Amino acid sequence: MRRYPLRLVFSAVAALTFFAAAMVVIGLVAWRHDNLSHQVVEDITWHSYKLDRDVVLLRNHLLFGEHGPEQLAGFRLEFDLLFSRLNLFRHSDIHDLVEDAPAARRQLSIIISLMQDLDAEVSALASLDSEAEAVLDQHLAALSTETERLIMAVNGHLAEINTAERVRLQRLYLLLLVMILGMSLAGGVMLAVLFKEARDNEASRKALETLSGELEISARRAQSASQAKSDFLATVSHEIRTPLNGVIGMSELLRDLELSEPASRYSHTIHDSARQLMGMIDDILDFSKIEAGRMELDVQPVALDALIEDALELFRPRALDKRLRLLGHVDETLPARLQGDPGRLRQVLLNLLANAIKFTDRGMVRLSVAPVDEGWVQFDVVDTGQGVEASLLPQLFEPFRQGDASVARRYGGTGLGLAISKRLVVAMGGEIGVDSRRGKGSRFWFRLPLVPCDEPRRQPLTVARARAHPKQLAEADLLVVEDNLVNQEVAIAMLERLGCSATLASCGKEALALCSQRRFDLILMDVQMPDLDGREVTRRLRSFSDWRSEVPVVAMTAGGASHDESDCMAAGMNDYLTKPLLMGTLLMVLKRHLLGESETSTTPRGSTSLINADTLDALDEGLGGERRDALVDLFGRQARERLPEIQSAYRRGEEEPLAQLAHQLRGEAAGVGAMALAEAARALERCALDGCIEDARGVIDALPELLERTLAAIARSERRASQT
Amino acid sequence: MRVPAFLCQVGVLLGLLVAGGIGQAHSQPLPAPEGPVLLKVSGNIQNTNVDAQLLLDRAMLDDLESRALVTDTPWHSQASRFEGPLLRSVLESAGVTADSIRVHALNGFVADIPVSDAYRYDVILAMKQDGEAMSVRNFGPLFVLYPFDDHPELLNESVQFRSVWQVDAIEVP
Repeated sequence: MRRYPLRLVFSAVAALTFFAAAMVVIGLVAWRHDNLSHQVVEDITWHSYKLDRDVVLLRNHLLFGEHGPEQLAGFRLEFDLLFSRLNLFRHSDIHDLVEDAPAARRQLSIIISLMQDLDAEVSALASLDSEAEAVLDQHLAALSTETERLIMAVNGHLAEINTAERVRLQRLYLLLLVMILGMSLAGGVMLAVLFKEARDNEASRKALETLSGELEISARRAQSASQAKSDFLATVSHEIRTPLNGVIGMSELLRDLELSEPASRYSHTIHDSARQLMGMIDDILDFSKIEAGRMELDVQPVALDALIEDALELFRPRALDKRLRLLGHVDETLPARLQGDPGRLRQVLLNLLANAIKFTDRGMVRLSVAPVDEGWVQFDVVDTGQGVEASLLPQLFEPFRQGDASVARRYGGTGLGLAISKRLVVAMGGEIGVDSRRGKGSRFWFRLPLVPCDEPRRQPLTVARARAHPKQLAEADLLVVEDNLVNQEVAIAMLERLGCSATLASCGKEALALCSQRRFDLILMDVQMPDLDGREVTRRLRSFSDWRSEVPVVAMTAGGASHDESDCMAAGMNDYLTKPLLMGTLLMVLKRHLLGESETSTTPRGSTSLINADTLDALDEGLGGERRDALVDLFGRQARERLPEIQSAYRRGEEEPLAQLAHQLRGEAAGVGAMALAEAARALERCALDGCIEDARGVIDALPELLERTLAAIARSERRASQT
Repeated sequence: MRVPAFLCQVGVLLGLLVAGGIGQAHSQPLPAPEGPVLLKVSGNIQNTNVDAQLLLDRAMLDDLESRALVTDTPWHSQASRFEGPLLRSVLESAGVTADSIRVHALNGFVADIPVSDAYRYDVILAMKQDGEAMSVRNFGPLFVLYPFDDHPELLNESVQFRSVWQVDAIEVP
């Protein structure tokens, strides 16, 4: 309840009290008016007068009337009427008034006794003779005197009553006046207090307005400062990325050269360091974008199974290196597809998984997904790592904070991963948290409101247009559109390494000019360029009706923003490469568009053919026939040696060695295009990692035969190749 | 021929009205009073018995529909039981159609009373007080009495003015 000023309360109570009192006084006045009973006063005057007048009339009747027997009856009737008038004084309301007036009462008793005497005379009357008349007249004369005096007595009494009443009323009116004055005074005080209150309110309102205005200004200032900071970060990050891309690209190229031992080690270190640096810059850029409120969610149908599988797949090598079991489990009751932002969800999962693997030295890391409440899905990343001190838990999701300073020294990193994850989860409408005990491992969890969806999954944008360009890479004529010198050099060097001939255009206009002069088989297009950006160049190319409307255009983007990809596709580009360029991805993209190949990973599982002829062809191309054969031989020997090891590891139930052996077999098999064998090794590895080693029996039993069949198939393809 | 037919109809209607009026007038042929006349009703009345007046003695008044009412009045020291014919039955027996009547008292007092009062309230011409005939000294022989105790709103100056005592005649204007 609001507190009112004491003065206001007092004055209000006083005003009300005075008002009530005034009402009482007014009621009293009204009551007195009513009670005064003017009727009675008037009646007593009237009846006194009539009594006197009836006496006079009766006397006149007696003196001037005729005197016979009929007249006597008339006289008696008139006497009765006179008597009835007297009865009024004795019995009616006016009797009380007479009783109050001593003079009138005395007078009335005199009149009554005179009337009784007269009554006796009249009753005894035999006839109205002159003698009787004289007696009666004498009586009536006496009566007349008394009735006249009664009038005077009544009048005198009424005068007194009126005077007293006037005095009493005057007193009441005075009281009323005092009440009204008091009421006005209290009302005035109340008004003054209210007025002051209103003035104070107005003043404080103005003060608040001023204050809020100032706050708004400083908020705006702070916001623009923060904006400037974010812009600066974004710019700086971008500026750092460009040379870093050069470092990564060049060190990648360097790695492939046959260098002496220390040089090779240095180049590897340069490459790894540069990639780590890039990761950190990505984090900072991401965080500054989120902080600047520039994050937009891209909600679309998400297949959780595939998302989880991809995330786990990414960390499998790292887990294997640390000999950790990496498990995944998606609850069967979850719908196949949910509405969400797959990119952001993946980013959070990767962050948590990377952390878990980073801080776990033995045991396992498990990612599980299960529905919780209606419409909510919970993701848990559980590890058997070192855990976190309880005192450090609250600051874990704060930006630029790591568990403690020693963590930063030992493990590195920006400390932004969890902060980014938290902001992403919150932006997706969810919550994130951690349970951990020092030495007992951690459980990082987040839950998101994800609604199921029935619509078919959006067509993946990276699917290549089915277009056959059966050409060797060496014959391909490529155009590289890139404004940055370092990037130019990286791209050209990589393409040369792949055996392609490439022409360079250093800006969008130059690219358009070159394309009007000659034809290219594929164009690698930088997206951000000063004059025309890559999307605009592509749009213009597509507007022609010749080869330019169809030529494969592959975007090269600085990466970071998730919508770059869809923007590029919308502009008519065919594919998408994120800088830094890596040999592997570049080769894959070129093959896809120039040779019409699709990636091996998109081959449907279960229907894997025994060998992949393209891989063998590529080996042939890259190494030459002899070296390819030597490689296949080596693979055969190694695989035959490995099989008994696998079987013995299986028999002993040793999961980790089994997983490692299977992983190695998988890599070797994939290298020579032995797809079925690679797939079998992969299944084996999964079983070993998931701890369900018993399920691997069928695969292990089938392995020797599969290996022999594969080797035979490779031998057949070699013969075919040498015949042609 | 239409006009005479219409006139015929009007004539028949007028005849019926007159016949009805006469019939009503003669529905209660009143005899002359035998005892001393207490009330004389004169003026615009339909039922008469002597010289275009209706004269009523005590017996005739007793025959009319009467009421007994117990009430206090401003003119009596305590409540009494008053009896007498209803004012409306007196007016009906005289065949009064006017809206107002003028009541005369022995002492020369005159008051006009709206006929509606007689129908809205059980106004009586009180003849007896506590079982005894009211004398002139006690405001008799007839007293226009309103039921004050049953209807407190009647205790006002105008009704008290209409409460005529010592009534001897009613004049219908």
